[in-house]
Amino acid sequence: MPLRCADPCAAQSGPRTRASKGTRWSGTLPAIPGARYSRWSACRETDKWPGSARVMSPCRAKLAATPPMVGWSGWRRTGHLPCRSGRGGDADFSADDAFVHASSRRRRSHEEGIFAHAMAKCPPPLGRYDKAGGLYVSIRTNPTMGGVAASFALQGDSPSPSRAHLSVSRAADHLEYRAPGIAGRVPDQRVPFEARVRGPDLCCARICAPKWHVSWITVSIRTNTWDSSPGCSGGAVAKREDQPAAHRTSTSASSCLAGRDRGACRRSAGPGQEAGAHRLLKILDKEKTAKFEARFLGLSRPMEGAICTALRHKNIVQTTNTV
Amino acid sequence: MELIDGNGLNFLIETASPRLNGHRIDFLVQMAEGIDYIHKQGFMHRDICPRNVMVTEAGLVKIIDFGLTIPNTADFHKPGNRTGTPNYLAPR
Repeated sequence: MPLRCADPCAAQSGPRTRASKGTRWSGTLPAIPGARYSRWSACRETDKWPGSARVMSPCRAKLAATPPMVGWSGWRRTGHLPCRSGRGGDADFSADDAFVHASSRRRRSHEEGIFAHAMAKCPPPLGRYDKAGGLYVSIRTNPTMGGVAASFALQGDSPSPSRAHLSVSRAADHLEYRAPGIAGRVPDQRVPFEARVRGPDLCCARICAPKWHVSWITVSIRTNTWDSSPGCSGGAVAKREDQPAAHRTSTSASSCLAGRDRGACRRSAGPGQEAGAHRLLKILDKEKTAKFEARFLGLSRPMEGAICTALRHKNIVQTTNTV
Repeated sequence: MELIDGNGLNFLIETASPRLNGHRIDFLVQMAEGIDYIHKQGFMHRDICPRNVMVTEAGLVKIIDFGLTIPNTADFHKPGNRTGTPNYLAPR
């Protein structure tokens, strides 16, 4: 069931700003359990950005006229540090997790205005989120480009010595910042990273088992965010896996790293953490995991990672870097 | 965890892969060795099914997914605490 998007401006106290006077958007957004939605206008931030109201109004009108699922970024988060800058999503960061499911679909030409602002709003809270030790997971769908790419999807690729991030997409997905339709209209100097990245050379992933409480993502680690050795930078880029199409599914946006397993991605260098190594990241559904753990209240059940790490056998998958 | 360059046993079964020909017993023995090791370490996997068994290109069997694993002690074996893949649960 898609969620009906509430108008965040309606609950705003005090005099309404110019941006908040627009017609209430009654569109729908895809349902992501646990995610919060708001209209993609920036209510409070509008006051700080006088020019943004003029930019957002036409964009909002276009969004209201478009069917649901036209360009969105769903955020799974808990905590605070609000940064309302996404279209249809709350870009809030906390120490728990940030799970991005990005898609531009075919709408991209109108993004440059609002996402020029979004690009400026996302990095500061993301920096605080990094310092808090969070893991940034970006699931990119086809295509991911324009403002969505700049503001959300590709943020994880920004070189940062402390950032733990994982960016995943499939081989044929189209990823780039600047679409041909808006080439020349957005100055390149606004792009905070290398633009025009695309195709199988960048990333791909295999995500399967969505119906159970685990999902598997095969990744190729190309960064030192999983390795404390200095001198490396770049993003955690997924690697293509040749699997039948039936086994390729998009991930459930409700999946996120379970809290106690998340720390596995923040450990310092260990065996098998060399750059370019292929590793498997297990993503758990918090709710289902908690439901399972509730069976053993009062018992000291070891964590799954601890069990896997303790098992060393040629016929058992080897696990490293768990907490 | 390590990347297993291969397919799940369920995929090999569903597609009637020729890789199974002549290797079924070998795969079974390898699975038994892995399960035996798990039990000797004091754990129970509780979700052994083809989906949780990977077979590498070299023919090495790897048991995966320890999400339902519990210590093999009496405290964890409560009535009604049943879990696993329905088609592969023990009949008892």
